[in-house]
Amino acid sequence: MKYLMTLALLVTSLATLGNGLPADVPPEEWPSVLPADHDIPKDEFGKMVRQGQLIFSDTGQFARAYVGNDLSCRNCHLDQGRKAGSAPLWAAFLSYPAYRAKNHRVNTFEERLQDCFRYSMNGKAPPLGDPVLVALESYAYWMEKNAKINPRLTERGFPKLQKPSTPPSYERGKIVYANNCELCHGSNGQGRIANGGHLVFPPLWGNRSFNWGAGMAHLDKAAAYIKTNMPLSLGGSLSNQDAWDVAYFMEGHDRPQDPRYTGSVDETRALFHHTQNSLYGHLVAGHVLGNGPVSK
Amino acid sequence: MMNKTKYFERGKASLKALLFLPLAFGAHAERLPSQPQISTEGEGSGFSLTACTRCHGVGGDGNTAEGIPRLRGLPFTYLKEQLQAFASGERQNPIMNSIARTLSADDITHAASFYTQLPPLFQPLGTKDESTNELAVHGRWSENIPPCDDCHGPEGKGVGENFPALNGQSARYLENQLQAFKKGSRPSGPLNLMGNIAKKLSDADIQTLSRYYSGSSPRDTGGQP
Repeated sequence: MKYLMTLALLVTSLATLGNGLPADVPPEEWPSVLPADHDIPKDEFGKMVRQGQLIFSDTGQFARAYVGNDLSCRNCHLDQGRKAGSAPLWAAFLSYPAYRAKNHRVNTFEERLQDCFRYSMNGKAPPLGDPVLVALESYAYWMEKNAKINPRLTERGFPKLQKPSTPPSYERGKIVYANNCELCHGSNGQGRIANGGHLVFPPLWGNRSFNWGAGMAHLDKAAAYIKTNMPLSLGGSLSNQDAWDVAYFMEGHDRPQDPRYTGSVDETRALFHHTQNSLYGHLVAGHVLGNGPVSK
Repeated sequence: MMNKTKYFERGKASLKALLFLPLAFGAHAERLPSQPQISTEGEGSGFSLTACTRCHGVGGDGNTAEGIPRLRGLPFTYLKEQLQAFASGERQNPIMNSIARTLSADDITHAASFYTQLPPLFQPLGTKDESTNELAVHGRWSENIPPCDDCHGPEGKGVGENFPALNGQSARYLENQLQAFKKGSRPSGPLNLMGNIAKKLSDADIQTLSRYYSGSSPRDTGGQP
Protein backbone atom coordinates (compact mmCIF):
# COMPACT_ATOMS: atom_id res chain seq x y z
CA MET A 1 0.00 0.00 0.00
CA LYS A 2 2.77 2.37 0.99
CA TYR A 3 4.60 1.41 -2.18
CA LEU A 4 1.53 2.15 -4.26
CA MET A 5 1.09 5.56 -2.69
CA THR A 6 4.71 6.44 -3.30
CA LEU A 7 4.34 5.34 -6.89
CA ALA A 8 1.20 7.41 -7.27
CA LEU A 9 2.97 10.44 -5.83
CA LEU A 10 5.92 9.89 -8.11
CA VAL A 11 3.69 9.58 -11.17
CA THR A 12 1.79 12.70 -10.13
CA SER A 13 4.91 14.76 -9.62
CA LEU A 14 6.43 13.54 -12.88
CA ALA A 15 3.27 14.40 -14.74
CA THR A 16 3.14 17.74 -13.01
CA LEU A 17 6.70 18.44 -14.04
CA GLY A 18 5.80 17.65 -17.61
CA ASN A 19 2.80 19.87 -18.12
CA GLY A 20 2.09 21.85 -14.98
CA LEU A 21 -1.23 20.08 -14.44
CA PRO A 22 -2.48 17.35 -12.08
CA ALA A 23 -2.12 13.86 -13.52
CA ASP A 24 -5.84 13.14 -13.37
CA VAL A 25 -6.50 15.65 -16.11
CA PRO A 26 -6.56 13.61 -19.33
CA PRO A 27 -4.03 14.68 -21.97
CA GLU A 28 -6.67 15.87 -24.43
CA GLU A 29 -7.71 18.52 -21.91
CA TRP A 30 -4.25 19.86 -21.28
CA PRO A 31 -4.02 23.36 -22.54
CA SER A 32 -0.97 24.50 -24.35
CA VAL A 33 0.91 26.72 -21.95
CA LEU A 34 2.78 29.27 -23.98
CA PRO A 35 5.36 31.69 -22.67
CA ALA A 36 4.36 35.26 -21.95
CA ASP A 37 6.25 38.36 -22.97
CA HIS A 38 7.73 38.83 -19.51
CA ASP A 39 9.43 35.43 -19.91
CA ILE A 40 11.64 36.78 -22.69
CA PRO A 41 15.20 36.72 -21.33
CA LYS A 42 16.97 40.00 -20.78
CA ASP A 43 20.08 39.17 -22.77
CA GLU A 44 21.38 39.23 -26.34
CA PHE A 45 19.07 36.42 -27.38
CA GLY A 46 16.12 38.12 -25.70
CA LYS A 47 16.83 41.24 -27.76
CA MET A 48 16.48 39.23 -30.97
CA VAL A 49 13.28 37.66 -29.69
CA ARG A 50 11.85 41.11 -28.92
CA GLN A 51 12.88 42.32 -32.37
CA GLY A 52 11.14 39.31 -33.92
CA GLN A 53 8.05 40.10 -31.93
CA LEU A 54 8.07 43.71 -33.14
CA ILE A 55 8.39 42.54 -36.76
CA PHE A 56 5.56 40.07 -36.17
CA SER A 57 3.30 42.79 -34.73
CA ASP A 58 3.99 45.62 -37.15
CA THR A 59 5.67 44.09 -40.16
CA GLY A 60 5.29 47.12 -42.39
CA GLN A 61 7.21 49.24 -39.92
CA PHE A 62 9.92 46.85 -38.76
CA ALA A 63 10.58 44.96 -42.01
CA ARG A 64 9.55 47.69 -44.42
CA ALA A 65 11.93 46.70 -47.21
CA TYR A 66 10.24 43.33 -47.61
CA VAL A 67 6.57 44.22 -47.31
CA GLY A 68 4.31 45.22 -50.19
CA ASN A 69 0.90 45.48 -48.56
CA ASP A 70 -0.84 46.61 -45.36
CA LEU A 71 -0.68 43.31 -43.52
CA SER A 72 1.30 42.20 -40.50
CA CYS A 73 2.04 38.62 -39.42
CA ARG A 74 -0.23 39.03 -36.41
CA ASN A 75 -3.28 39.80 -38.57
CA CYS A 76 -3.71 36.08 -39.32
CA HIS A 77 -1.47 34.40 -36.72
CA LEU A 78 -3.54 35.40 -33.70
CA ASP A 79 -2.32 35.98 -30.18
CA GLN A 80 1.06 37.06 -31.57
CA GLY A 81 1.57 33.69 -33.20
CA ARG A 82 0.48 31.64 -30.20
CA LYS A 83 -3.11 30.65 -30.96
CA ALA A 84 -3.74 27.09 -32.10
CA GLY A 85 -5.89 27.05 -35.22
CA SER A 86 -4.34 30.18 -36.66
CA ALA A 87 -1.12 28.57 -37.92
CA PRO A 88 0.80 29.16 -34.67
CA LEU A 89 4.48 29.96 -34.86
CA TRP A 90 5.54 27.30 -32.36
CA ALA A 91 3.90 24.53 -34.36
CA ALA A 92 5.49 25.79 -37.57
CA PHE A 93 8.88 25.87 -35.88
CA LEU A 94 8.42 22.28 -34.74
CA SER A 95 7.42 21.17 -38.24
CA TYR A 96 10.39 22.40 -40.26
CA PRO A 97 12.46 21.37 -42.14
CA ALA A 98 9.60 19.93 -44.16
CA TYR A 99 8.84 18.97 -47.72
CA ARG A 100 6.50 21.41 -49.47
CA ALA A 101 4.59 20.63 -52.64
CA LYS A 102 4.66 24.36 -53.36
CA ASN A 103 8.30 24.24 -54.46
CA HIS A 104 8.87 20.48 -54.59
CA ARG A 105 11.65 20.35 -52.04
CA VAL A 106 12.51 20.28 -48.37
CA ASN A 107 12.41 23.78 -46.90
CA THR A 108 14.07 25.08 -43.78
CA PHE A 109 12.08 27.26 -41.41
CA GLU A 110 13.96 30.29 -42.72
CA GLU A 111 13.00 29.41 -46.29
CA ARG A 112 9.40 29.04 -45.19
CA LEU A 113 9.55 32.53 -43.68
CA GLN A 114 10.87 33.87 -46.99
CA ASP A 115 7.67 32.69 -48.67
CA CYS A 116 5.53 34.51 -46.11
CA PHE A 117 7.11 37.74 -47.34
CA ARG A 118 6.90 36.79 -51.01
CA TYR A 119 3.23 35.80 -51.01
CA SER A 120 1.30 36.73 -47.87
CA MET A 121 3.09 40.05 -47.48
CA ASN A 122 3.13 40.60 -51.28
CA GLY A 123 6.72 41.79 -50.88
CA LYS A 124 10.09 40.23 -51.49
CA ALA A 125 11.97 37.52 -49.68
CA PRO A 126 14.61 38.73 -47.24
CA PRO A 127 17.91 36.97 -48.08
CA LEU A 128 18.80 33.98 -45.90
CA GLY A 129 20.59 35.25 -42.80
CA ASP A 130 18.94 38.67 -43.04
CA PRO A 131 18.36 40.21 -39.57
CA VAL A 132 14.59 40.15 -40.24
CA LEU A 133 14.61 36.37 -40.69
CA VAL A 134 17.02 35.85 -37.80
CA ALA A 135 14.74 37.86 -35.50
CA LEU A 136 11.58 36.04 -36.56
CA GLU A 137 13.29 32.69 -36.23
CA SER A 138 14.47 33.66 -32.73
CA TYR A 139 10.94 34.61 -31.75
CA ALA A 140 9.55 31.28 -33.02
CA TYR A 141 12.36 29.28 -31.40
CA TRP A 142 11.86 31.03 -28.06
CA MET A 143 8.14 30.40 -28.16
CA GLU A 144 8.49 26.73 -29.01
CA LYS A 145 11.30 25.98 -26.56
CA ASN A 146 9.43 27.55 -23.65
CA ALA A 147 6.01 26.13 -24.42
CA LYS A 148 4.27 23.22 -22.78
CA ILE A 149 2.28 22.08 -25.70
CA ASN A 150 -0.87 20.00 -25.80
CA PRO A 151 0.17 17.16 -28.10
CA ARG A 152 -3.23 17.30 -29.77
CA LEU A 153 -2.61 20.86 -30.84
CA THR A 154 0.76 20.46 -32.47
CA GLU A 155 -0.54 20.34 -35.98
CA ARG A 156 0.82 23.21 -37.98
CA GLY A 157 -1.18 25.42 -40.26
CA PHE A 158 -4.95 25.51 -40.09
CA PRO A 159 -7.34 22.75 -39.05
CA LYS A 160 -9.03 20.83 -41.85
CA LEU A 161 -12.65 21.71 -42.50
CA GLN A 162 -15.14 19.24 -43.89
CA LYS A 163 -16.34 19.93 -47.41
CA PRO A 164 -19.65 21.80 -47.49
CA SER A 165 -22.84 19.92 -48.30
CA THR A 166 -23.60 22.36 -51.13
CA PRO A 167 -20.89 23.79 -53.41
CA PRO A 168 -19.78 27.20 -52.12
CA SER A 169 -21.65 30.17 -53.55
CA TYR A 170 -20.55 33.76 -54.15
CA GLU A 171 -24.09 35.04 -53.65
CA ARG A 172 -24.63 33.29 -50.33
CA GLY A 173 -21.13 34.28 -49.28
CA LYS A 174 -21.93 37.91 -49.96
CA ILE A 175 -24.76 37.74 -47.42
CA VAL A 176 -22.60 35.97 -44.83
CA TYR A 177 -19.98 38.66 -45.39
CA ALA A 178 -22.43 41.53 -44.94
CA ASN A 179 -23.77 40.04 -41.72
CA ASN A 180 -20.52 38.95 -40.09
CA CYS A 181 -17.43 40.46 -41.68
CA GLU A 182 -18.18 43.86 -43.11
CA LEU A 183 -18.35 45.46 -39.66
CA CYS A 184 -14.58 45.12 -39.36
CA HIS A 185 -13.21 44.43 -42.85
CA GLY A 186 -15.35 47.03 -44.63
CA SER A 187 -17.87 46.88 -47.45
CA ASN A 188 -15.14 46.46 -50.05
CA GLY A 189 -12.82 44.20 -48.06
CA GLN A 190 -10.48 47.11 -47.56
CA GLY A 191 -10.03 46.72 -43.79
CA ARG A 192 -10.08 49.60 -41.35
CA ILE A 193 -7.58 52.03 -39.91
CA ALA A 194 -7.65 53.29 -36.32
CA ASN A 195 -7.66 56.92 -35.24
CA GLY A 196 -3.97 57.67 -35.37
CA GLY A 197 -3.33 55.75 -38.58
CA HIS A 198 -2.58 52.16 -37.56
CA LEU A 199 -4.21 49.43 -39.60
CA VAL A 200 -6.41 47.43 -37.26
CA PHE A 201 -8.59 45.23 -39.46
CA PRO A 202 -6.65 43.75 -42.40
CA PRO A 203 -7.70 44.13 -46.04
CA LEU A 204 -9.01 40.81 -47.36
CA TRP A 205 -8.64 41.46 -51.08
CA GLY A 206 -7.52 44.23 -53.42
CA ASN A 207 -4.11 45.84 -53.87
CA ARG A 208 -3.22 46.03 -50.18
CA SER A 209 -3.90 42.39 -49.32
CA PHE A 210 -1.96 39.11 -49.76
CA ASN A 211 -1.26 37.99 -53.32
CA TRP A 212 -2.52 35.01 -55.30
CA GLY A 213 0.41 32.85 -54.24
CA ALA A 214 -0.43 33.00 -50.51
CA GLY A 215 -1.80 30.00 -48.65
CA MET A 216 -4.78 32.08 -47.59
CA ALA A 217 -5.73 32.47 -51.28
CA HIS A 218 -6.89 28.84 -51.19
CA LEU A 219 -10.55 28.15 -50.47
CA ASP A 220 -9.95 25.25 -48.10
CA LYS A 221 -7.42 27.16 -45.99
CA ALA A 222 -9.49 30.33 -45.88
CA ALA A 223 -12.67 28.43 -45.00
CA ALA A 224 -10.90 26.57 -42.18
CA TYR A 225 -9.32 29.75 -40.87
CA ILE A 226 -12.63 31.61 -40.94
CA LYS A 227 -14.52 28.78 -39.29
CA THR A 228 -11.95 28.51 -36.49
CA ASN A 229 -11.18 32.14 -35.83
CA MET A 230 -13.79 34.50 -37.22
CA PRO A 231 -15.49 36.76 -36.31
CA LEU A 232 -12.77 37.64 -33.82
CA SER A 233 -13.78 36.26 -30.40
CA LEU A 234 -16.64 34.26 -31.97
CA GLY A 235 -14.61 31.51 -33.64
CA GLY A 236 -16.69 28.41 -34.40
CA SER A 237 -19.95 30.36 -34.57
CA LEU A 238 -20.36 30.17 -38.36
CA SER A 239 -21.68 26.95 -39.91
CA ASN A 240 -19.32 25.00 -42.17
CA GLN A 241 -21.42 26.02 -45.14
CA ASP A 242 -21.26 29.71 -44.19
CA ALA A 243 -17.49 29.48 -43.77
CA TRP A 244 -17.05 27.95 -47.25
CA ASP A 245 -19.49 30.39 -48.84
CA VAL A 246 -17.84 33.44 -47.33
CA ALA A 247 -14.39 32.10 -48.19
CA TYR A 248 -15.61 31.77 -51.80
CA PHE A 249 -16.89 35.35 -51.70
CA MET A 250 -13.53 36.57 -50.39
CA GLU A 251 -11.51 34.56 -52.92
CA GLY A 252 -13.93 35.66 -55.63
CA HIS A 253 -12.29 39.11 -55.60
CA ASP A 254 -9.02 39.93 -57.25
CA ARG A 255 -5.79 40.57 -55.41
CA PRO A 256 -2.15 41.24 -56.30
CA GLN A 257 -0.66 39.03 -59.00
CA ASP A 258 1.10 35.79 -58.17
CA PRO A 259 4.85 36.57 -58.26
CA ARG A 260 5.30 33.35 -60.28
CA TYR A 261 3.15 34.85 -63.06
CA THR A 262 4.45 33.76 -66.44
CA GLY A 263 2.76 36.46 -68.49
CA SER A 264 -0.40 34.41 -69.03
CA VAL A 265 -3.17 33.82 -66.51
CA ASP A 266 -4.05 30.49 -68.16
CA GLU A 267 -0.49 29.26 -68.02
CA THR A 268 0.02 30.49 -64.46
CA ARG A 269 -3.17 28.72 -63.45
CA ALA A 270 -2.05 25.48 -65.11
CA LEU A 271 1.36 25.64 -63.44
CA PHE A 272 0.55 26.87 -59.94
CA HIS A 273 -3.20 26.89 -59.38
CA HIS A 274 -4.25 23.57 -60.77
CA THR A 275 -6.55 22.83 -57.84
CA GLN A 276 -10.21 23.33 -57.15
CA ASN A 277 -9.19 25.27 -54.05
CA SER A 278 -7.89 28.18 -56.13
CA LEU A 279 -10.18 30.52 -58.04
CA TYR A 280 -7.23 32.06 -59.91
CA GLY A 281 -8.09 32.25 -63.61
CA HIS A 282 -11.78 31.57 -62.97
CA LEU A 283 -14.60 33.83 -64.05
CA VAL A 284 -16.31 34.99 -60.85
CA ALA A 285 -18.94 37.75 -60.67
CA GLY A 286 -18.11 38.86 -64.19
CA HIS A 287 -14.33 39.12 -63.71
CA VAL A 288 -11.58 36.69 -64.65
CA LEU A 289 -9.50 36.50 -61.49
CA GLY A 290 -5.76 36.98 -61.81
CA ASN A 291 -5.93 40.07 -63.99
CA GLY A 292 -5.49 42.47 -61.10
CA PRO A 293 -7.87 44.04 -58.61
CA VAL A 294 -10.77 45.87 -60.18
CA SER A 295 -11.73 47.75 -57.03
CA LYS A 296 -9.80 51.00 -56.55
CA MET B 1 -24.63 59.78 -45.56
CA MET B 2 -25.14 62.94 -43.63
CA ASN B 3 -23.80 66.24 -44.77
CA LYS B 4 -20.88 66.74 -42.44
CA THR B 5 -20.10 70.30 -43.49
CA LYS B 6 -23.62 71.46 -42.86
CA TYR B 7 -23.68 70.00 -39.39
CA PHE B 8 -20.25 71.30 -38.68
CA GLU B 9 -21.37 74.84 -39.49
CA ARG B 10 -24.47 74.45 -37.41
CA GLY B 11 -22.35 72.99 -34.62
CA LYS B 12 -20.16 76.08 -34.63
CA ALA B 13 -23.16 78.37 -34.48
CA SER B 14 -24.58 76.42 -31.56
CA LEU B 15 -21.21 76.49 -29.87
CA LYS B 16 -21.18 80.31 -29.89
CA ALA B 17 -24.66 80.42 -28.41
CA LEU B 18 -23.67 77.93 -25.76
CA LEU B 19 -20.83 80.05 -24.47
CA PHE B 20 -23.48 82.06 -22.65
CA LEU B 21 -25.26 79.09 -21.21
CA PRO B 22 -23.35 78.79 -17.96
CA LEU B 23 -24.68 82.27 -17.08
CA ALA B 24 -28.20 81.35 -18.04
CA PHE B 25 -28.30 78.03 -16.28
CA GLY B 26 -25.79 78.47 -13.52
CA ALA B 27 -28.54 79.06 -10.97
CA HIS B 28 -30.18 75.78 -11.83
CA ALA B 29 -27.04 73.73 -12.23
CA GLU B 30 -27.89 71.48 -9.32
CA ARG B 31 -31.21 70.52 -10.88
CA LEU B 32 -31.32 67.46 -13.04
CA PRO B 33 -32.30 68.28 -16.57
CA SER B 34 -35.86 67.09 -16.15
CA GLN B 35 -37.00 69.55 -18.79
CA PRO B 36 -34.44 69.38 -21.52
CA GLN B 37 -34.13 72.58 -23.52
CA ILE B 38 -34.79 71.31 -26.98
CA SER B 39 -36.07 74.19 -28.96
CA THR B 40 -36.54 75.23 -32.51
CA GLU B 41 -34.35 78.13 -33.36
CA GLY B 42 -36.45 79.30 -36.23
CA GLU B 43 -34.63 77.79 -39.15
CA GLY B 44 -34.87 74.12 -40.02
CA SER B 45 -34.93 71.76 -37.10
CA GLY B 46 -32.46 73.86 -35.13
CA PHE B 47 -31.79 72.15 -31.86
CA SER B 48 -30.41 73.59 -28.67
CA LEU B 49 -27.91 71.25 -27.14
CA THR B 50 -28.45 72.51 -23.61
CA ALA B 51 -29.79 69.18 -22.46
CA CYS B 52 -26.53 67.54 -23.52
CA THR B 53 -24.03 70.22 -22.57
CA ARG B 54 -25.26 70.66 -19.02
CA CYS B 55 -23.70 67.33 -18.14
CA HIS B 56 -21.35 66.52 -21.02
CA GLY B 57 -20.01 70.07 -21.32
CA VAL B 58 -19.89 72.43 -24.28
CA GLY B 59 -16.59 70.86 -25.29
CA GLY B 60 -17.99 67.35 -24.82
CA ASP B 61 -15.52 66.42 -22.09
CA GLY B 62 -18.01 64.89 -19.67
CA ASN B 63 -17.22 64.62 -16.00
CA THR B 64 -14.59 62.25 -14.67
CA ALA B 65 -15.74 62.10 -11.05
CA GLU B 66 -19.38 61.52 -12.00
CA GLY B 67 -18.53 59.00 -14.68
CA ILE B 68 -20.24 61.08 -17.36
CA PRO B 69 -18.65 60.12 -20.66
CA ARG B 70 -16.54 62.30 -22.90
CA LEU B 71 -18.42 62.59 -26.19
CA ARG B 72 -16.06 64.71 -28.29
CA GLY B 73 -14.90 62.99 -31.42
CA LEU B 74 -16.85 59.78 -30.87
CA PRO B 75 -18.18 58.19 -34.09
CA PHE B 76 -21.44 59.56 -35.47
CA THR B 77 -23.03 56.14 -35.93
CA TYR B 78 -22.10 55.06 -32.44
CA LEU B 79 -23.49 58.24 -30.82
CA LYS B 80 -26.70 58.00 -32.81
CA GLU B 81 -27.21 54.35 -31.90
CA GLN B 82 -26.63 55.08 -28.24
CA LEU B 83 -29.20 57.89 -28.22
CA GLN B 84 -31.67 55.58 -29.96
CA ALA B 85 -30.97 52.88 -27.38
CA PHE B 86 -31.49 55.35 -24.54
CA ALA B 87 -34.78 56.41 -26.13
CA SER B 88 -36.00 52.82 -26.44
CA GLY B 89 -34.78 51.93 -22.96
CA GLU B 90 -32.44 49.21 -24.19
CA ARG B 91 -29.57 51.16 -22.69
CA GLN B 92 -30.50 51.96 -19.15
CA ASN B 93 -29.72 55.24 -17.43
CA PRO B 94 -32.54 57.20 -15.80
CA ILE B 95 -31.30 60.65 -16.86
CA MET B 96 -30.43 59.70 -20.41
CA ASN B 97 -33.61 57.67 -20.85
CA SER B 98 -35.80 60.61 -19.90
CA ILE B 99 -33.89 63.02 -22.15
CA ALA B 100 -33.59 60.73 -25.15
CA ARG B 101 -37.30 59.93 -25.15
CA THR B 102 -38.05 63.58 -25.93
CA LEU B 103 -35.71 63.74 -28.92
CA SER B 104 -36.87 63.58 -32.52
CA ALA B 105 -34.87 61.66 -35.09
CA ASP B 106 -33.50 65.00 -36.30
CA ASP B 107 -32.52 66.01 -32.78
CA ILE B 108 -30.60 62.77 -32.40
CA THR B 109 -28.81 63.33 -35.69
CA HIS B 110 -28.03 66.89 -34.69
CA ALA B 111 -26.66 65.98 -31.25
CA ALA B 112 -24.55 63.13 -32.65
CA SER B 113 -23.25 65.38 -35.42
CA PHE B 114 -22.32 68.09 -32.97
CA TYR B 115 -20.21 65.87 -30.74
CA THR B 116 -18.64 63.83 -33.50
CA GLN B 117 -17.12 66.92 -35.15
CA LEU B 118 -15.35 68.06 -31.98
CA PRO B 119 -11.73 66.87 -32.00
CA PRO B 120 -11.13 63.84 -29.80
CA LEU B 121 -8.87 64.21 -26.79
CA PHE B 122 -6.61 61.29 -25.95
CA GLN B 123 -4.42 60.88 -22.94
CA PRO B 124 -1.20 58.98 -22.41
CA LEU B 125 -2.09 55.64 -20.89
CA GLY B 126 -0.87 55.50 -17.34
CA THR B 127 1.36 52.49 -17.34
CA LYS B 128 3.31 50.28 -19.67
CA ASP B 129 3.43 47.60 -17.00
CA GLU B 130 2.69 44.33 -18.80
CA SER B 131 0.55 42.98 -15.98
CA THR B 132 -1.89 45.88 -16.16
CA ASN B 133 -2.26 46.16 -19.91
CA GLU B 134 -2.21 42.42 -20.56
CA LEU B 135 -5.89 42.11 -21.51
CA ALA B 136 -5.91 45.38 -23.41
CA VAL B 137 -2.91 44.54 -25.56
CA HIS B 138 -2.72 40.74 -25.59
CA GLY B 139 -6.20 39.56 -24.65
CA ARG B 140 -6.80 36.18 -23.07
CA TRP B 141 -7.07 33.85 -26.01
CA SER B 142 -7.49 30.74 -23.87
CA GLU B 143 -11.00 32.14 -23.26
CA ASN B 144 -11.34 33.64 -26.73
CA ILE B 145 -10.99 37.15 -25.42
CA PRO B 146 -9.14 39.20 -28.02
CA PRO B 147 -7.10 42.23 -27.00
CA CYS B 148 -9.35 45.29 -26.65
CA ASP B 149 -6.90 47.12 -28.92
CA ASP B 150 -7.56 44.65 -31.74
CA CYS B 151 -10.95 46.29 -32.32
CA HIS B 152 -10.69 49.65 -30.53
CA GLY B 153 -7.29 50.43 -32.02
CA PRO B 154 -3.82 50.90 -30.52
CA GLU B 155 -4.13 52.62 -27.12
CA GLY B 156 -7.90 52.39 -27.51
CA LYS B 157 -8.15 55.41 -29.80
CA GLY B 158 -11.13 54.05 -31.71
CA VAL B 159 -11.72 52.57 -35.17
CA GLY B 160 -14.34 53.62 -37.71
CA GLU B 161 -17.99 54.14 -36.87
CA ASN B 162 -18.60 51.15 -34.62
CA PHE B 163 -15.61 50.87 -32.30
CA PRO B 164 -15.54 53.98 -30.10
CA ALA B 165 -12.41 55.29 -28.45
CA LEU B 166 -11.88 54.00 -24.92
CA ASN B 167 -8.92 56.28 -24.39
CA GLY B 168 -10.17 59.53 -22.94
CA GLN B 169 -12.98 58.09 -20.86
CA SER B 170 -12.91 58.02 -17.08
CA ALA B 171 -12.26 54.81 -15.17
CA ARG B 172 -15.65 55.13 -13.56
CA TYR B 173 -17.49 55.39 -16.87
CA LEU B 174 -15.59 52.50 -18.43
CA GLU B 175 -16.19 50.30 -15.41
CA ASN B 176 -19.90 51.11 -15.41
CA GLN B 177 -20.16 50.27 -19.11
CA LEU B 178 -18.32 46.96 -18.89
CA GLN B 179 -20.57 46.02 -16.00
CA ALA B 180 -23.60 47.14 -18.02
CA PHE B 181 -22.52 44.96 -20.96
CA LYS B 182 -22.08 42.10 -18.55
CA LYS B 183 -25.51 42.57 -16.95
CA GLY B 184 -27.24 43.32 -20.24
CA SER B 185 -28.34 46.80 -19.23
CA ARG B 186 -26.99 48.21 -22.46
CA PRO B 187 -27.19 46.68 -25.95
CA SER B 188 -24.41 44.20 -26.50
CA GLY B 189 -23.18 45.92 -29.66
CA PRO B 190 -22.75 44.67 -33.22
CA LEU B 191 -22.62 40.85 -33.49
CA ASN B 192 -23.13 40.75 -29.72
CA LEU B 193 -19.36 41.20 -29.52
CA MET B 194 -19.20 43.23 -26.32
CA GLY B 195 -21.92 41.33 -24.51
CA ASN B 196 -20.11 38.12 -25.27
CA ILE B 197 -16.72 39.39 -24.15
CA ALA B 198 -17.87 41.27 -21.04
CA LYS B 199 -19.49 38.14 -19.64
CA LYS B 200 -16.04 36.53 -19.53
CA LEU B 201 -14.48 39.39 -17.58
CA SER B 202 -14.11 39.27 -13.82
CA ASP B 203 -14.68 42.36 -11.68
CA ALA B 204 -10.92 42.58 -11.25
CA ASP B 205 -10.43 42.43 -15.05
CA ILE B 206 -12.94 45.22 -15.47
CA GLN B 207 -11.25 47.42 -12.89
CA THR B 208 -7.82 46.86 -14.38
CA LEU B 209 -8.99 47.63 -17.91
CA SER B 210 -10.94 50.68 -16.84
CA ARG B 211 -7.96 52.14 -15.06
CA TYR B 212 -5.65 51.32 -17.94
CA TYR B 213 -7.71 53.09 -20.61
CA SER B 214 -8.50 56.04 -18.35
CA GLY B 215 -4.80 56.64 -17.90
CA SER B 216 -4.98 56.05 -14.14
CA SER B 217 -2.11 54.23 -12.53
CA PRO B 218 -2.96 50.82 -11.11
CA ARG B 219 -2.73 52.13 -7.56
CA ASP B 220 -4.94 55.13 -8.20
CA THR B 221 -8.28 54.03 -6.86
CA GLY B 222 -9.82 57.49 -6.83
CA GLY B 223 -13.17 57.83 -8.51
CA GLN B 224 -14.11 54.20 -8.23
CA PRO B 225 -17.79 53.78 -7.42
